Amino acid sequence: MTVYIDDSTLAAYVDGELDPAQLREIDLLLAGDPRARLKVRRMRETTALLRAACAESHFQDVPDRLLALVEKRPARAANPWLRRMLAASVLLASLVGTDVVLDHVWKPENVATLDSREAMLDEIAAYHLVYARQTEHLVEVPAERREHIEAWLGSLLNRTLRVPDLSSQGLKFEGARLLAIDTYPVAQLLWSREHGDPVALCVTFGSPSNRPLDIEHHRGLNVGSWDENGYTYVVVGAITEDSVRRIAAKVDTGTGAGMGAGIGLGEVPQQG
Amino acid sequence: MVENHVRSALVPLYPRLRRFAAALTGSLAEGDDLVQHACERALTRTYQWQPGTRLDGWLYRIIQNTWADERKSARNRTQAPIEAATDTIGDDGVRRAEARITLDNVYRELCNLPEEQRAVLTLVCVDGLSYKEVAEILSIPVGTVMSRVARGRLALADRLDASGAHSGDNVLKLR
Repeated sequence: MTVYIDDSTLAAYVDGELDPAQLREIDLLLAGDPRARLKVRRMRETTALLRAACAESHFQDVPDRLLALVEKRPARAANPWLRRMLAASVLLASLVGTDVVLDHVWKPENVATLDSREAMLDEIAAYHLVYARQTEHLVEVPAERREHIEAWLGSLLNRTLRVPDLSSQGLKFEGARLLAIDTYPVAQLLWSREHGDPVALCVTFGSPSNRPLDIEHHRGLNVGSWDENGYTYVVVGAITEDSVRRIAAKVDTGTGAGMGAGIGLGEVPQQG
Repeated sequence: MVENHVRSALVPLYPRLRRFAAALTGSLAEGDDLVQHACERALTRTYQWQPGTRLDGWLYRIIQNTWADERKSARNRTQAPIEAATDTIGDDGVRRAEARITLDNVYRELCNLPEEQRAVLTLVCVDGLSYKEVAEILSIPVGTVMSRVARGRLALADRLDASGAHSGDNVLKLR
């Protein structure tokens, strides 16, 4: 008696979707079922005809409007980080009840001609000086909604995001905001200190190449940045270099791992 | 950066995107419009693409979703039946002086199939995507992909048998 092979199974057979055991079984059944063998042949012939009729060469014409779209670049300010960050009001000092004396005057014309990364870090520092003076609305989403922050910003960055526990550094998590830089989401997490300016950790999409922690001095602030697993991390604040290193060490850069694991400075993790 | 990668990949991927869009819409001209709209959308959402995953699959999904949105808008505006799209290929002819496309009988019969079969056949039989990948792009179960591929391919075979040799009428000519 011929066992009936349904059309879906025959299609999967033709398209190589069956596992080896299933393949052997269907081969045996086909040997005794000429009707099914005919269907297989028709399916294969039709597939071959489709590939010929739909070859990429028939669809090669790229219209001018697509070329224009691809070549178009959004208008960029000279300092895109600064432009974006200035759109948000970040207020710190008053929340911790501490007057912060900032002796550096922010002047955009002070930015020298730097490479793009240095320019970006300089702009982060310049903006930090501005929002550090604010007295209200330090964050967009307060720390009480931490789980929401992690889910929300993590989904935008296509990763698991966990707020580092920096309490051992004397830092209190205040909340977060979302920034946008050239359509890229930037998760900004903020911590306050009993004495001193708040500190920020920014996470965004970065270079596919890993880059160890590097601390630079911009506008009177220490700015530590590194790239790992396709993300850029930036720690910024009126803090010592050692503090930057300790904070960076607390940041878990695993895209799927939970918080607290951290990585050691100088380690080069496996790139995914 | 991710945006640059996506932007630079659009032109080399364009023939495949165009092919899929034409299969969805049943019309090369509509397919071209769909690809343009989908690429515009993609470039505003490049952060949603995860490096390391298939960029073509992500773009196919955007094309599929854009088409669904456009059909919904068109339905709301004109109340025209969605099935009208399947007739477009026969009535289209030359729509733009600068782009005259010729399809052989196979492609014409493909476009006469129901939309859901056209999309699956294009992705599986022409692009060579797995059933699982197609299921993710079209947001349908793998079993549905299997049945649509089977039905669509056999239906196309029947149509080709019935239509015989190529017809010179109502074709869009490929350069």
